[in-house]
Amino acid sequence: MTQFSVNGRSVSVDADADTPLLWVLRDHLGMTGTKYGCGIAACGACTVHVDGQPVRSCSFPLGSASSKQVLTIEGLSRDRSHPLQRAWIEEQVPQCGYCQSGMIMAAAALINEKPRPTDEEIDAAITNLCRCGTYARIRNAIHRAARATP
Amino acid sequence: MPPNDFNTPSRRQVLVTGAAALMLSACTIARAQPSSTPINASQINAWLRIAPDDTVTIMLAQSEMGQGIATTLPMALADELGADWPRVKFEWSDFDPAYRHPQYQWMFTGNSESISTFFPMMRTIGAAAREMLTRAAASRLGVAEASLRIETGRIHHDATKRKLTFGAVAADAAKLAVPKDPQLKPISALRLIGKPQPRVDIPSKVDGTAIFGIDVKVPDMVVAAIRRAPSPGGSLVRFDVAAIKAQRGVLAVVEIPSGLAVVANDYWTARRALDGADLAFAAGPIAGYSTEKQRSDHAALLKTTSFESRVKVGDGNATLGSANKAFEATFEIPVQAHATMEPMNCTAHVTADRCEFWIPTQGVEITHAVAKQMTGLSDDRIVIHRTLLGGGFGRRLLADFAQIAIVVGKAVGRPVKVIWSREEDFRYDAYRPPMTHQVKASLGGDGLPVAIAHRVVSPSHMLYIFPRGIIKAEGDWARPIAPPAAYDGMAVEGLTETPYAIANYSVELNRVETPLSVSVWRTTGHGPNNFVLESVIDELAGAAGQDPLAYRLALASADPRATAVLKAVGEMSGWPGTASVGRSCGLALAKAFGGYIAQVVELSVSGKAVKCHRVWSAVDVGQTLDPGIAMSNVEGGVVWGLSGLRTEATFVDGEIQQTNFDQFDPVHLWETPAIETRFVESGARPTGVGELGPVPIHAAVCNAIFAATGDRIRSLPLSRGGYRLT
Repeated sequence: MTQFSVNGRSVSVDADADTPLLWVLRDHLGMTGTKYGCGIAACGACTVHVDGQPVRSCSFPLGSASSKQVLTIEGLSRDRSHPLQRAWIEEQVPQCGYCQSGMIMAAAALINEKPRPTDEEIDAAITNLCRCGTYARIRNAIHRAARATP
Repeated sequence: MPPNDFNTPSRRQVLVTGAAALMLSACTIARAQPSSTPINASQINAWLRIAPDDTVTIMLAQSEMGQGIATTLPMALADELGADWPRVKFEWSDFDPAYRHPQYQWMFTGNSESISTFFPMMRTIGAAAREMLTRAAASRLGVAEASLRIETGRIHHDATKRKLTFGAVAADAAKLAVPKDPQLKPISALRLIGKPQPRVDIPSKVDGTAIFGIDVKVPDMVVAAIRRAPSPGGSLVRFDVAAIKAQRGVLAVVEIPSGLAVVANDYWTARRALDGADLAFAAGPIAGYSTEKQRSDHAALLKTTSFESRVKVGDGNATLGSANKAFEATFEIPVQAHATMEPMNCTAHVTADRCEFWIPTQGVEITHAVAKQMTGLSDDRIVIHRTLLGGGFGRRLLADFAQIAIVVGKAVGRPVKVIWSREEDFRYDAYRPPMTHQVKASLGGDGLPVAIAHRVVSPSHMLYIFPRGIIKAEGDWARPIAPPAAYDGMAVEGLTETPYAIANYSVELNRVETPLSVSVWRTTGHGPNNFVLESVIDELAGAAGQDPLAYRLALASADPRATAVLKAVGEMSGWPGTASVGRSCGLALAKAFGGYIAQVVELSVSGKAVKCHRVWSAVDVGQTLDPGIAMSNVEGGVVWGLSGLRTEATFVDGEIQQTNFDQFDPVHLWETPAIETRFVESGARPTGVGELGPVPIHAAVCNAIFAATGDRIRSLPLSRGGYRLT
């Protein structure tokens, strides 16, 4: 049994310690907002926060999450009210949408650390892949969310 | 199968009252927004139901893969009907002949055809329903139809200040004959179409509630991981079922073509058992295939005479024989993988009397047809629930991922979700085929081309979407698209019809066979062919000592739509004084998918590193139905095109060399240029914009690289010329 917290809720999971956190979230806890894209931490579709830091959960073993706080897209807000979620809707960012949970979580980690990120800081922080090519709107939405946050 | 197979009462009953099945489809867009369509809704026709509480439910035949069609098509119907948009819902349709593309008589989403085909149809259906509701209301109120007007879901009789709701007269309206030729509203009377609208699917895509195929959960479901021979078509020659089954949590081991599926209650348990299994594969029928061999085979074919004529105007070859030959060059187009962000997957529940899918597919009818053949079940026993698609790009037109789910589903007898690893997704893609072109041209005294002779060596792009191997006999495919000659239109599209007037012009094709599984990839043949044509035009402009924009305007002077987008992009980019210090610009024009696009790219080259700074696009899709959605498609298309300048799928001994995103490297956020897009409203028939954006970008970038360096890029991706997009 591995115990940790997901979106403020304490959970314990009976799975091998080397099971990727991604599949624990998706299959054991039924939280499918976090996506599988590559399995090798290359695309970022599976990005979640562990103790406030962005991690690629496909390559993050369950054992390393023990006693830690995990935040997923489902826990970012109750009602799409996080400034990034609002900005994502206002800028009409998603196309197919598959990568967007990971994008938003990567962006959330960025603005937690740098509330007014520059273009260069966005370039450096958002390394996730989007095959639909929504990058320009992602950049705009991050700036919009930053402006909206007092 | 004749269409009336589906028009039996039982089938129709499924359509009208099969609420459970239909509602499940509706639920899949987001768990947070379950359909609340009452089951006593009145069915106006196959596309439309109106409930007593005024809820309008519109069926969606087309799949949503990011292009925004789930918003625009229902909106077109609702706008013409006069419905109250916030009270309109939509549901994914299952397969039914009513939802077929009327020209091809085939149900699919692709080739940027959803708007050109279904926008007029949605308007006609909306207008017919409006007339039926009006007639029913006129009868109820005892007034003339002409004295009624419909607005936001209400039918008003202004003279007596009476009004009726849609729901109040829907049941009466449904009993009336459907008008065959209903009167459409003038475009100016449409209130939703033509303005940017919030997409219906976006809220679910920012909070994790959107349901893609990989997210499907159904009661009693198990999950399968699969692994097949690294060389497609190879065989599994050694495996130990007992040893795999002995792994904790493994429920079943199922042989599939070329490999194995391991089934467990969750994906990672299945995947770990499969990864740890001792499997040996024998090379398959394509073991001799390599990129190197393909390139030399194509080059050898160019030296033969085995080409068929696709276009012949004047006498290009005779003219080229004269002394004024200006140009001869060969161009190469690489194999590409689709690499949708959501890997292939399908959930299937196959029993003796029913085959049910939950599937992210562009190809509803091919999935239905394959299921029918593999199970022997009748049409009404096959049920397809669609989900959102985590990218399509043409990959999900195929039914191969459904086939495997049927095989595994039959073996386990309960619902099973088969998830492909990213590596399986790359190894068993249906790739964009490689092409090789040879172009000869000569110039007249005015510098404009008097002759262009264009030869194309290309496999069919379309054969695999209509695979002979899957359907028993080609004779079953008695449809307009079936004749083999029609498979090859994509290999020469964009060349057979160009915006340019050239006195002597020929296009010839060698439809080479390839052992690779190949299919359409966003831009189909238009992308590769436009790269060649627009590179050639640019080279000819250079040979004539003329400005590339002025040269194209002269050549396309008889085509007002081409002229308009060229002038617009010139204005937007400030051509020819466009480039900032240290930067260079390139231009390209495309006529594709019924529309036009002209693009200017501004870039800089440092050593061999190419940095794209800005991209301007002027786009004419006739009438822009939703400028916001259309713009997002162009922006995304630019990125898709730029990625294609860097990625390729290469093969050695029949095995793809790129099996994950560490080796297949699309463009990232930090490599994305500033993108500016303008729509030119020509008033022509509205056409799709999904694949238009990336069509001219390869030529525009390479023409700009020439402007910067003097190097002509004639073989893609850029790495073949030593360049790298950064």
